[in-house]
Amino acid sequence: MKKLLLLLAVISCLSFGTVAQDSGEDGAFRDGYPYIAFEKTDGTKTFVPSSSLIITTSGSTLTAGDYTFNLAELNKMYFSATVGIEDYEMSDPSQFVIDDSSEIYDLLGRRVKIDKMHKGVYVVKTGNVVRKISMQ
Amino acid sequence: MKKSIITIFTALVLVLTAGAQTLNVQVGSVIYQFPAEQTGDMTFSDATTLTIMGKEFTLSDITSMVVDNTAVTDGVISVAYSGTTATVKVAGNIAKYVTPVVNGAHVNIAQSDDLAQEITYILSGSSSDGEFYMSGSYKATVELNGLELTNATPVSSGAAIHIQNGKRIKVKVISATANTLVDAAGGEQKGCLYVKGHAEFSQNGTLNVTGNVKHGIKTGEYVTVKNCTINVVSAVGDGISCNEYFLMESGEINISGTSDDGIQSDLDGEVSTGETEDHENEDSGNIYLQGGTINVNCGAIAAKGIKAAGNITISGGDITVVTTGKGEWDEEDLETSAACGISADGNINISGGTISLTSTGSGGKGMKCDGVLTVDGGTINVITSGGLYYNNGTTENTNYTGNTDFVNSAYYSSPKGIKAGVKDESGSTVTYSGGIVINNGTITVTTSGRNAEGIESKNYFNVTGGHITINAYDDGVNSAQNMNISGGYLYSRSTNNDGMDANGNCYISGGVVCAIGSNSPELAIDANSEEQKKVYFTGGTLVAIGGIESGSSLSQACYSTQSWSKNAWYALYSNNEVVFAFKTPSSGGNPLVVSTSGTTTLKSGVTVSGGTSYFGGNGNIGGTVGGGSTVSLSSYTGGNGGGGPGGH
Repeated sequence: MKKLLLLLAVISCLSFGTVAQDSGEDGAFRDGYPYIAFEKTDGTKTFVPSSSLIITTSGSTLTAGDYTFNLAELNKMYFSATVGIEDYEMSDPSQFVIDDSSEIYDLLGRRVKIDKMHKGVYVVKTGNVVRKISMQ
Repeated sequence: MKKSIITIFTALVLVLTAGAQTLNVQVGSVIYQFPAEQTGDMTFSDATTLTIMGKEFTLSDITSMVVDNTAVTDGVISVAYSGTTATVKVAGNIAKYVTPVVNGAHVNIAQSDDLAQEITYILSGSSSDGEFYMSGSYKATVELNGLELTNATPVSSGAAIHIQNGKRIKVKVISATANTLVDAAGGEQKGCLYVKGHAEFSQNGTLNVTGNVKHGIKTGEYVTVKNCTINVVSAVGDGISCNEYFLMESGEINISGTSDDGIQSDLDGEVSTGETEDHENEDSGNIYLQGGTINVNCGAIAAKGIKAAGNITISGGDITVVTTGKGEWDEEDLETSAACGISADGNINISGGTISLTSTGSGGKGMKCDGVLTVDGGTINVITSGGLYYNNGTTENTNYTGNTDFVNSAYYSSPKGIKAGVKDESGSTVTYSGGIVINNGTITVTTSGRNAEGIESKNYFNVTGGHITINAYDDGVNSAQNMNISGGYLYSRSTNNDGMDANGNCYISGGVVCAIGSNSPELAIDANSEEQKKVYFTGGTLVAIGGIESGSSLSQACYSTQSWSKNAWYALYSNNEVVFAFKTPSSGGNPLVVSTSGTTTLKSGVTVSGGTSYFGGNGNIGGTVGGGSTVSLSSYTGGNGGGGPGGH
């Protein structure tokens, strides 16, 4: 059953990937952005559900739904189709910082080591951030 | 576990089928709408600004940011008026190119010069004190989608809509909507609806305009009208005033309550380009009327219903113009000026349409041009009833009855049905320009005011075809130079002067001519014999009640009778075949002269049925003629015998 779940997750990722291929030059998805990601200057991100989201600012803070941010720490925000899954295309895995806690899976749901990554698509989980990586 | 699988599937389906999302950033009364798929990174800077799609917001200015499922159309700005407020919604893709400022219901939107795509402004709602002002340098579309806008206290402009943009502006009057614009009485605007550039009106809605300061609609460049209905309810200036040219393809224009002209087209520059192919870069001052309906009712002094600095070309449509204003003394030109239904500084070309012109004011004319009037088709009806207008700058008389032979021509304006051309006298040098050419169409002219000629050409008058019926107080037709009738049907009656008066030679070589002059010394057909000019009659069918100028050259045999009955039907025969039946007028001179191309005989007191009616029911061709008695005719060589109508 665990394998089945993993397979479904992979299918899910593939589905997103398909949508992404329909995206515009900015790489954004055309349909469905259930989250707005708020990225701080230190790179950490918070994914806030976008449905009927109200964003307000007051003084030095920005409030988005149940989340409050210090404006001085905010770098950017953007609509996101997934909770932390992003698309990266790279030729050298070193471009993508993966620490020891990172978990890398191929599309069959098998965990792989970074030095075993070949041309293909992988799902990488580092902390709370999950990225789909396409190795060229 | 099964539950988990279902949950995952559900989440997946939800993600894949979610609808379009929009981030609405509200700044006061302006809402910028950014579609999620377009936003990309929205960056914060210095904890004070947020930049979305190149549009920088000061965070403290933002009223709210809300995500919803509003559909956004790229390139659209909507302005919804409601009482003393207005809400502006800006599509995210153009947000960075515009700067909207909203003050109550007074909306000012400035387009950046960097803008490289057309913006559509959709205006709707109602305000009793609002305006729409847009400036920019890129073409735009303004949609009037059920807008009632009165500008009471000007902020950016006194106009209800002011487009300070020199490019092409499409004004779409959205189908099935009524839109009403009223400008500020205290403003300095040039029009209630002002467009600096060229305006293209379209769609099937209705636009009502009131110009409280100057014109109803004013554009700096050309105007085109297609489909929509434009009602200028009142205007202190013109109903519609434009530069370059005016073109009406279809639709309806109703203009009334103006203090100046109905529709006016002027040159934008100093020199006319004339008509250009597809009107590309045209600056002609021309007016083109191709279809649709125009109703103009001008009550202003010396106002023109439709006035062009260039040519007027009419190829279709129903045009009705009524002017009721008297003449005036023009301080600038030091001469009198009078009202006119259709007036062109250049030529008038008519090939189609139905044109009805009525002028009741003193000195008022139906149609006038300085160039050549050419009629190749269409139906033209002209009625003038105003008297002779006199004004020497100090004394005015709206029904002058004195002899104008010794009055400076600058001091009076004679009412006329149609006038074309210019006779320019400079010292002993006289030059003639313009003229009249009628090749086809139907023209009916009736004038009843003193000195009112039916049709006057200040140069030549040529007829090759068409149907012309004139009943005039003064000369039916008058030409400053030669008159040349080679075809068509011409009925020209004057009750107080000549039926036809050529101040050059009068050549008649064909057609059906029925000329009726008043009593002697006036003639049915007059030529300038004082300057050795003649009537040259070489062919055609002729009825001349009142005689023909003495010394004429009548190479086709003419016959006359000194006795004719009023209001009676006569039948004119050529080789014993009826070629023309006519009803005599209630008054006219002597003799009655007739001629046909064959052996000419005449019967009086006939009955006529069937056939084709001509000349307002006073002529008939092809009808069945019965009864009557043969008229005794004498050979005729010119001159009139004096006296009034004989017989009954």
